[in-house]
Amino acid sequence: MTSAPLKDRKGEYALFIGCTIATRGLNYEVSARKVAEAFGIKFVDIPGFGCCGYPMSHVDHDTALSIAARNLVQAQERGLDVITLCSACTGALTKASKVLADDKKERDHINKILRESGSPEYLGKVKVTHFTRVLYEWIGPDVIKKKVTRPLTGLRFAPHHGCHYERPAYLFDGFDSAKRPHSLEAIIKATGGTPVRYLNMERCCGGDILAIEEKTATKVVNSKLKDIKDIGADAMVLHCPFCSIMYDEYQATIEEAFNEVYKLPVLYLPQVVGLAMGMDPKKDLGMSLNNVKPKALLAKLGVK
Amino acid sequence: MADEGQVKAEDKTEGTGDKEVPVQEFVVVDCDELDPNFKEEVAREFGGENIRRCFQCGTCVAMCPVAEHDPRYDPRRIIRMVNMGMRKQVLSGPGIWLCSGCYNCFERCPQDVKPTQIMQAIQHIASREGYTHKAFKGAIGLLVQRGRLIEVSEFDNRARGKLGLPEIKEDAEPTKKIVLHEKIEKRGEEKKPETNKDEKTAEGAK
Repeated sequence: MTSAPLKDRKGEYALFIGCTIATRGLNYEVSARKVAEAFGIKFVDIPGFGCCGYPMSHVDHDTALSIAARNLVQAQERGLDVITLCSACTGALTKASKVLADDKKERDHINKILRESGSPEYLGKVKVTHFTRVLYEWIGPDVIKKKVTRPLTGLRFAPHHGCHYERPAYLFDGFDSAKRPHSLEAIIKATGGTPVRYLNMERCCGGDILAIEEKTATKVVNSKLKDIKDIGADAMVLHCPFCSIMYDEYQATIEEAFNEVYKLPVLYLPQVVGLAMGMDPKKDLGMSLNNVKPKALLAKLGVK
Repeated sequence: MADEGQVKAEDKTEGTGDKEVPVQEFVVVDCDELDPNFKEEVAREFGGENIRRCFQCGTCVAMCPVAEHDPRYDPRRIIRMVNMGMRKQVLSGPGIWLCSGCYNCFERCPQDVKPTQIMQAIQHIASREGYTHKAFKGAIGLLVQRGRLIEVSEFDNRARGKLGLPEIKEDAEPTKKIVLHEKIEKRGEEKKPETNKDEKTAEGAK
């Protein structure tokens, strides 16, 4: 790890929540804000943020990159770096941040589009970091451990790193292994919980093709839920709203379609960290918004 | 790809033919219809640069969470078809849209072919040629209309307020301007009018 710790950074960041979290991931947003606050990170909300550009990465390169760059400009105008929660947003914004920092020709080209679309130019300096990376790298498991007042001892968590958080490695300075990611495990350990490894752990949620081929996407989801069921876990832990839609919102549909019973609670990482820090599951961590209710898990901790 | 092997194995052991097993459609290649420049065209796109390096080892397929469940998606086959110049079959086929973009193949390809980015590069060409998948047509429409992929309704803002989260005001203009500047908006138009179902599934994914 070469990244500077939080104490050596300025504590103010633009929070990029994107489209999905804003309406369908309020439990993620509220828990991430609470946990960030507890570690002294101040989030600034920028009204000018819009779509991150990710959906257009399947349509047109320049459009996707320009939409992403326009968002980076919003942060640049306020002198802020960006913290993201959604992995798809992380992928799109990091790609723009990296490509436009390294490649002047590409930056000039995108800036022409921005100029002609009425946006200020992008200077190529804004950094984008996923909130999990903030917890893992800037804050670190050791500091998280010190804040734990309600250790999650005896609980088994199946981490799902997803895709655009650490892959492709060249965009993310290889801060976590692209083939065998482990950062979620380190944070789960810090909370006192037990991370479990399962078959095909690195495989994706299939969320990207849900609108293309729903049947195939649900098969992709089902195979992972099965792998986790085989190993046994109290909850799955993830950090992307797409993944949560697939594993949490779709779980009942999948149980019916494949004649399976999973009843596997799916928690966002900040919900797990917040729980260990003694936060209120409903009020602070929005757990009543999780589709599969983590009742049994909370009962094990003696929390209502 | 694995399916071919499975079919053969079944044929040998049971001799019952391949009724139950999905067989890949074998395409007859008409040399007159091949476009030898197609690979160069893909190589000129962002991320398509290394397509000619592919030596067909199949690591991408072995690692692919989609190929495991859907025989229509086979990145090795698609890359081979590009290198052979089967432009029309590739651009009009369903395969290129089935990549879930997980980058597992990208990280493991021994030739650094970057299959994930190659699929996007091909999608970009396909989109220019009028083959934009209907899910993304819906997404283009939403970006022009709202500047976001999912509407933030009054109801949503009330729910946000209850949790102490800041209100979100939609502002489509800045994103719309970029989409219009790049002349993408026309690709969002279906020959027949968009049905609600398309919009719903596009939202469901994102």
